[in-house]
Amino acid sequence: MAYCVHCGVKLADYHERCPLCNTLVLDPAARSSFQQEQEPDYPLYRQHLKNPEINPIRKLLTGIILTSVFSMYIIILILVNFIVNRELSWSLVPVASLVYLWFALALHFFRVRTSFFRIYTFNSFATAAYLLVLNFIISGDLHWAKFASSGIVFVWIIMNGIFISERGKKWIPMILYYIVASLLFTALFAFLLTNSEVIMRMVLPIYLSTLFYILVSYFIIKSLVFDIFNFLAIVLSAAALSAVSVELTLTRYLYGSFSLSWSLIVISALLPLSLTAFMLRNIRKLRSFFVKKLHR
Amino acid sequence: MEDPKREIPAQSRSWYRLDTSAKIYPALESPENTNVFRFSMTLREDVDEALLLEAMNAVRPRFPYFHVHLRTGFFWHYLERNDNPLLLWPETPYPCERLYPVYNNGFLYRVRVYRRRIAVEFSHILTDGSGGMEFLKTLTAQYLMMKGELSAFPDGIINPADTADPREYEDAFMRVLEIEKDRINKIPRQRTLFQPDPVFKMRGKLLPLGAFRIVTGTASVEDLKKIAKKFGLTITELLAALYTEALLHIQFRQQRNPRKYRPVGMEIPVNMRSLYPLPAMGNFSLFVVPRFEPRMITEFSDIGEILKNYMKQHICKEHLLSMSIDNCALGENPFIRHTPVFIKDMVIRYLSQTQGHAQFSGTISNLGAVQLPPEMEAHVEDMAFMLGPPTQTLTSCAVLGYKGEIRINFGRVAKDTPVERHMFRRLVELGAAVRLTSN
Repeated sequence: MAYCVHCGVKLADYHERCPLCNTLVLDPAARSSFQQEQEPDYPLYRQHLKNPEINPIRKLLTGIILTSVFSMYIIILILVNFIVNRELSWSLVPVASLVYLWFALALHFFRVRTSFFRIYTFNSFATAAYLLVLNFIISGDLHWAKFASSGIVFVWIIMNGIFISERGKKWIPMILYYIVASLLFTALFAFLLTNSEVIMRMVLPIYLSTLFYILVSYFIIKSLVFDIFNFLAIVLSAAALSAVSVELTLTRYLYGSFSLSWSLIVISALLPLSLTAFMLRNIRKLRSFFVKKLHR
Repeated sequence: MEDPKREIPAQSRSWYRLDTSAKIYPALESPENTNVFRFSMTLREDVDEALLLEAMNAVRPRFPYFHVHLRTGFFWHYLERNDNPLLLWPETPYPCERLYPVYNNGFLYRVRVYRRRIAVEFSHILTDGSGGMEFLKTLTAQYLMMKGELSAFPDGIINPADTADPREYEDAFMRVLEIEKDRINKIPRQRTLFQPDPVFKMRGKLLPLGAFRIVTGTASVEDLKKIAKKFGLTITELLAALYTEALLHIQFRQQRNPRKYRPVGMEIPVNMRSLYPLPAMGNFSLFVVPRFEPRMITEFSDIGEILKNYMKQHICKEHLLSMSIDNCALGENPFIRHTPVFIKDMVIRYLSQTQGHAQFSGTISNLGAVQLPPEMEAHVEDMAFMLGPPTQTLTSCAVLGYKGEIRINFGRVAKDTPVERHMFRRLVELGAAVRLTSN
């Protein structure tokens, strides 16, 4: 312990100078021995966080910034193309590329926890879709992209099997999975090589759109806390939408033009039911939200 | 529907209103003015960080009103439940740094750990000194329990096994008005928020933005009591008087023209819990601002005399009640209530810059002697309390007593230390043994 000769106060051992008047106070000979024993009350430098917990807000911010940058470029491209050429022509290729980039780079920032496999899955499907879109924009058909994309998807299916078997260690379902996958793929390649119009123009769109609605509603239901009203609302509206797409595909194939008849009745029955279910579930939350935001 | 006026158990609440005094803080928060204060406890052994994080998670359900986001509504800001993971921060050279909720998973308080010390830094939006102290006591007790130092949870501090009392997060000032319903009409209203003439402001070279220097002086209660008795003052009054004396001396030095002398105003927070023993954990304190006219003062005992009379007159139920009536009336005014929050924020910022800061030249906050349960006291060696960077007054003083010693904690954003130097030299001169530490 040292005293400041000017202030008369006792100083902690790590002080070389009085913090009040900056007078040198420590005996230089005793310095080394003191410093080993004494620890300063505050560190000299800032340290980093010791437990790097995932910070969802920072990730979200990065995602939002990337999204806004990409969307800004997309809007500029479309506007320029539209103003100069009065149609959407050359901008479609860079726009599709930017959308693909968004899927590959920015989408993962919106998830709190991502795994390598999830990123790989998203990126493979995004690449497959991008190739298809690119081929379609450039030459108006899918003559090369359908093989490239299905190749990527095939690789993904094999990788998926490997990842699942790594986790689950269940071999019989794994073998079944590979058999089903290879059968499906053989069928797909057979279809890609033969050129059957019915499959292309009627069966496949109906199958794909129904699959799309089923998948979308499955993921929405899974991402929400399960609730019977939400479940009904999502399933009913998905059913209504798939009815519409089925009828559109059918009329296009049969009569060569889009028209709606019976699906309108289905919609008028299902959509009010779905909305009612949605309101029943969420009206409390909605009201709470407004009370919170507008409290005086 | 979640109406905050109805009593809903704290665990299931998703949002809280800001209390009467917290309403101004979201507007005033800035890089210069962090509105952060800090408590710390020094234990006997180095703190186990993983265990402390576990303890933080264990006490979290007991204090749901501290684990919140600050959100902006249309008419007011409000606090919304925050389910993000808690973070444990390492110590920094400059305490009471600005709390950026983005980097802190949205929370408005943070826990720092450094060797043997656990420190909590609270934004004033959440609570005042007493509420923060209660939280730190519970956190430390929980940590010591988990470490096996304590066999049972000590009495006299908030137990994390209980559920939160709805009175802890209600607006305590409104509750006081309800308790004093019959007296309200008899009490004269102040109606003057600000005094017209500005006070003296110390000038000095500033440290770079973000830097904050601490000088902590430790003296024994006995010494200070002896000195205070000599002048017929309490310890708070003695320290406030010394602080005032320092500011007067600085004014004499900085202002050569005696006609331009300005009064010195000291901001002294008053804990309302001592008058109304409510279990409030939000902001429940007011402050009094005694003023000292330099021309009226010739020696130290004059300051003491003025201060003593002022405190006697103003720290009483009548005066503080009239202050709280005025504060609440402002918040309940239908015109103010229906003004959008961004306009209110701008007005608050403007008034604070032009009027509010011109009311006081220094702040001294005395938390009093802190009592811990005896079984816990054996494990807690030291305690400290500090106020955030005082941009306008350049220095502020936070005082806390523990284990028969008083810690006088000066924080400053200026390079030089005229107030601290004067104060501690005077204390030594008057016969107190002072020990200093600094960052």
